[in-house]
Amino acid sequence: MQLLKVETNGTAKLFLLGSALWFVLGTLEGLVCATHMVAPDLLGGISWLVFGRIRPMHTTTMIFGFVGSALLGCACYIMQEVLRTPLWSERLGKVSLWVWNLSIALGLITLDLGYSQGREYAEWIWPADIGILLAFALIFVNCLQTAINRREKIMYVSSWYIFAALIYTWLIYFFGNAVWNPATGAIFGMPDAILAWFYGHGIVGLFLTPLAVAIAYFVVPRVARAPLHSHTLSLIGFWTILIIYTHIGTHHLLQTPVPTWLKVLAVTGSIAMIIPVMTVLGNLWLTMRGRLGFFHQDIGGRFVMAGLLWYILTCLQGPIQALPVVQKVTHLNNWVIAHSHMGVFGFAGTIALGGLYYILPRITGKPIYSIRLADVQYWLLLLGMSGFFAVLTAGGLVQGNSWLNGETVYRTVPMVHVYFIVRAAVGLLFVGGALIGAYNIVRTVRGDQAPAEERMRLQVYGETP
Amino acid sequence: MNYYAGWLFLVVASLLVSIAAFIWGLRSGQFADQDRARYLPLSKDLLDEPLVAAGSRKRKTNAAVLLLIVLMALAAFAAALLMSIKDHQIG
Ligand code: HEM
Repeated sequence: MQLLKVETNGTAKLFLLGSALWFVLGTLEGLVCATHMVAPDLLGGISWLVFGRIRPMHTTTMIFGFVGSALLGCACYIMQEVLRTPLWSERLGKVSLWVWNLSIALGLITLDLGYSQGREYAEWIWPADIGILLAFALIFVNCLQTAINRREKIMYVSSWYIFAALIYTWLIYFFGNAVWNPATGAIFGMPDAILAWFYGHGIVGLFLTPLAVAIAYFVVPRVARAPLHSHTLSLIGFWTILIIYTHIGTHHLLQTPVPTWLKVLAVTGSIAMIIPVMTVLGNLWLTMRGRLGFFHQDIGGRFVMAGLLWYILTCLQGPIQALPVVQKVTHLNNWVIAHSHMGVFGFAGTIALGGLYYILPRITGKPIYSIRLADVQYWLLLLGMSGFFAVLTAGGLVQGNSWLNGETVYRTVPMVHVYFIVRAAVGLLFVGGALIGAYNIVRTVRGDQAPAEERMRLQVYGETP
Repeated sequence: MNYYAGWLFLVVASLLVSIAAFIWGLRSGQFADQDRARYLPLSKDLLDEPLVAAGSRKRKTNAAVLLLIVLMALAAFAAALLMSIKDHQIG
């Protein structure tokens, strides 16, 4: 069957292609949300376009559809490379790919029809949850069998991260979506909030983060053409992130009646996160040092480098905003939205794109359709992300300051209106970046070459490398 | 106790998985030959790929933009910290 066609790296390739297409949808959904913020009545009362439905569609499309698919596609490829063994079953890989994509589509369509379980990033209905769990399980089996049959005895740090992401995400997805309660996907009361935020936190910290770090650990030494600075240090980072990240989800609930011991655990753990983060960044920096010119040149390397920079900033901001005294200013306003975009898009999404641009030509055996278009996409997204961070942070501080001074929420709305307008405008850069990326990636998968770049390549190398 | 059972189970299950993986790693010699492990992302096919570094203008532009982003973010973090400390002192 064509859908399950067995071809070397076919699974990874289609995950990457899927990611590019979900990215377009995700940015369009984001733009609709941003428009609602500027002019709430503009779109009328069209039920399938209301903010309450499009907002969770936007977040889940981005997390699972765009970033998640690209990370999983890269993971399938990296696993084989570092273990020196082909994927155990490309057919099983394709089955997991379709289950994954159909579950995302089901989750999104039903959300748009108004079926939501109402917990952040866990809004999808039960059948979609089961599909996602099944997809993770199938990918895990495939990677596990690949590892069992591996020709390289030592598991490189990227493969540790990939396994951790697959196992932990399965666990947090299962518990976080309370799948034993199909009707609600929830338990009750305060324990539900705690569980929901262990899930929400785990999705970014134990699904996106380890996979993005796995990609960085693969791409950075390759672009630098140098061995990793220290594999031992990378493993220290790996084990410490597992120990610390798994139990700090309560930092999302510091302003609620959660038991104090849990809050203390969350705040101290959030600060301790500096350890694993700095081991990753220090190690990669020492690998890149003196070789940055290669990163500025290689489009995949450049995306990964920018992603790592956003990673430092996200994880510097994280511990700061986990302090209760700071949360009095930053909690529940646009400040957090700036952090969310910086983490999910700036860090994980940008590294995912870096992995995509680095890996795709190695799968197809042909260069990227157009490096120039990828370059334009890089700048649009970098500018977009910086603009988003600036405008959302500024708007958040205005809101936080007003609330501290006793303003009622409705009086702060006009104050932030101008920020919402700029945010919608900046959102257009993302839409443009996603569209250009999708076009470039579809053409690359088809094996096409932009004529001008092909001519140039012929002149420089004598043949297409 | 029953109240937090779901959450506790999740944390304990996660810890057990980590410990099991760590013990397996230790027993199977995963942490032994760490120097060779550093080379694992590299492969022979890289030798056939041209190695090109960016020109100085491109490097400088990229680096300057990234530096600006860092400065912007640091200014934002400082602003939030100052606002919260100020409020704390007044409060
Ligand atoms: C050192 C690491 C990190 C720490 C300590 C941290 C801390 C925090 C804290 C305290 C909040 C809650 C803020 C509030 O509601 O007032 C938060 C929110 C958030 N973080 Fe992080 N963060 C870290 C890294 C990341 C990373 C790497 C990502 C993405 C991959 C990320 C994505 C998010 C998202 C999406 C939210 C918003 C959740 C919501 O909808 O309320 N964070 N983070």
